[in-house]
Amino acid sequence: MKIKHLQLQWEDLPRVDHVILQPVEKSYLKIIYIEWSIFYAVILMAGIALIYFLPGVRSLLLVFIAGLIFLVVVVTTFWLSKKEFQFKAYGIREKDIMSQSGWLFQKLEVMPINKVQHCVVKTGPLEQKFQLASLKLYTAGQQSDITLNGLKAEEAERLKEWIISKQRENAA
Amino acid sequence: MQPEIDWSKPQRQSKVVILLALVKMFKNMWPVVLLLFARFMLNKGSSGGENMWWVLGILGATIFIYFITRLNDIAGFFTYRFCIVNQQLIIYSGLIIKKKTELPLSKIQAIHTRQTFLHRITNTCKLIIDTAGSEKAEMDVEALDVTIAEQFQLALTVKDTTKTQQYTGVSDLPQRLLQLGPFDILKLCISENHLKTFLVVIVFLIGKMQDIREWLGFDSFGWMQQHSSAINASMQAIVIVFLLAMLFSIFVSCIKVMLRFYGFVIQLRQDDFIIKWGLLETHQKRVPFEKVQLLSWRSTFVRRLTGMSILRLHASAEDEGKEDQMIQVPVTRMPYLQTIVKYYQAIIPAEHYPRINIDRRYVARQVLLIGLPVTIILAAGFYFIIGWYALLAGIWLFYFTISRYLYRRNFKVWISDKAIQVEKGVWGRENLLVNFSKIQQVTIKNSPYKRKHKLADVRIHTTGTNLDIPFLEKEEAAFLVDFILAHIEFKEEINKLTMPLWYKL
Repeated sequence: MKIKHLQLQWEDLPRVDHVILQPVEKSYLKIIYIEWSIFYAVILMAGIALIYFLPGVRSLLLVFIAGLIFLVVVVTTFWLSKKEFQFKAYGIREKDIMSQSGWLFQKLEVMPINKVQHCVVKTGPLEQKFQLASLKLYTAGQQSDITLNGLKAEEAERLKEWIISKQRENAA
Repeated sequence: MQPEIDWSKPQRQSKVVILLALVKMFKNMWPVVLLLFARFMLNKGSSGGENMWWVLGILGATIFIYFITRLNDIAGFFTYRFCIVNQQLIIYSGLIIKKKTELPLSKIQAIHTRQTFLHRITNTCKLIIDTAGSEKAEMDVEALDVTIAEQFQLALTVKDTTKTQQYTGVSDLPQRLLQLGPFDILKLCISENHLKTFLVVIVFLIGKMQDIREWLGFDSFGWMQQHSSAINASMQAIVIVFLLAMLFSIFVSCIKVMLRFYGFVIQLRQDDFIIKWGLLETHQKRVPFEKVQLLSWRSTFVRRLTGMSILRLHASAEDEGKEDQMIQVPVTRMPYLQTIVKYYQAIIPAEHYPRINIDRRYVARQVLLIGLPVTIILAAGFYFIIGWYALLAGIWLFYFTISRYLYRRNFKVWISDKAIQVEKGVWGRENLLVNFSKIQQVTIKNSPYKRKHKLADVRIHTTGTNLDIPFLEKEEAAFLVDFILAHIEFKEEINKLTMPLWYKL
């Protein structure tokens, strides 16, 4: 009997950098903009209230500088959000799921399906309006949960069902 | 002899729970009582001082409040029940709001027993069960008869009869792997971090002096200031005080080590590690081999010179804040370390495989991003206090650069066909060893600088802790991630192949 013991080469392994990642739904960018807008609206209202109730800060120069800084921060946030959105993507392989995020500081997270403890589909009020959902995958690890945002609601549910069926196959 | 217990019927804790609750109540209460009494005695007669009836009233209220806080523990004797049904541990608890917890036996990571002095004289022990998962559920039995606790532990241990015995030579009888003798304890005492204890003691004393001022109305700081001029604070006196403080810290360190590691034994039984330790409070922890997520062993500078280290067996979802429940094995000789590690990973990667270093540019980036900004902030801040002497902050920058250089030089990675090992440290050393099968997720990260220089960071997630490997070559990082994923996802196929040596990459 001939015993085969082949040498492993990198080319033989499934390569993470060869996976074609799928971008998230474009309408998710609108959700990001709306969330930031709400946040900054609250900050602005707090600032206005501060100026109204505290006479000490009613200096034109101070208000002008604060307003300018606020505007720069808001514009930068929205610009960065758009850049980061362009890099937001996910990938599904037969045995694992990937999530890419970040623009300047990029991150690629890979979670094997056989390590997924459970998964949850979440839909917030804004996501419901745009018929989107998030799929959160939990493992037993520390700080090792993955969230796939910006999926179509049906796609998120389908993906969740697919993961559950894969887990049942592995268990069998 | 204790008759066989039917675990399908709900069982109760021992009556000793009520006694423990009362003892805990008095233990928490007596400093308050003592302080009230001392305050009354010190301020007696002075205008504005409290009278006897006021003190008695406060005392009565204190006793009542502490009793209420312990009522839950006392009620626990009557309401807390547990049983094992269909491979599930079922716990009934709650006095007003009833709660039923169901725990699959397979989710149990470790079983921990503790015995305080009171437990020992009543022949009982405390039982704690650790589980895995992000929502940690624990079982905490305050007092259980020792023989019943042993039977309960055996009943909780799930044996997977489909698996063949993986570990040859492990019998049903407990087999001692390591036991610390008096000389080992002495070595641990001498090599302990006394400087850390010294700082802790100083902070503790300052805190207590503050408490004395608040509770007794006695200004100990002011008293010291008043009398310090009467003391001829010569250099000799200062040195003597400093030496006495260091000796006291060494004494406290030694006591701490003795209390922690006295009677330390690690045994093997069937597929479990059984670890016992403690002097005033004895602990026993039972951890199945398969539940050990990763191993780490660390040595301070002094311990490295003597070949000693503290080995830690990481189980799932351990509470990093509860150091006394961590499984820490003091290893006083290297062969002991190898003996224990081999039950987790038969071949230690560092012994057989070539190492990988992180990129040299790590040092420059750390100095640029952390060292320089911190130095500038420190110098700017101190300039307003000590003038141009603030430039001495440059000494810190020099030390930081040296330490980052040493950290980069000492950071080593070894990869075998089953596990990854990382060694790191500046003056001391820490080793982390993870089997690929225990890895939950992998992450590759980069920044604009790293992309430009074809570098990347890899983070390996486990249920114990995460391993971070910074500044790897981009190709190495990608191969490492692919390799780990292949081992998790294609275990059977990969095991038929030999792994390429890293230097051929």
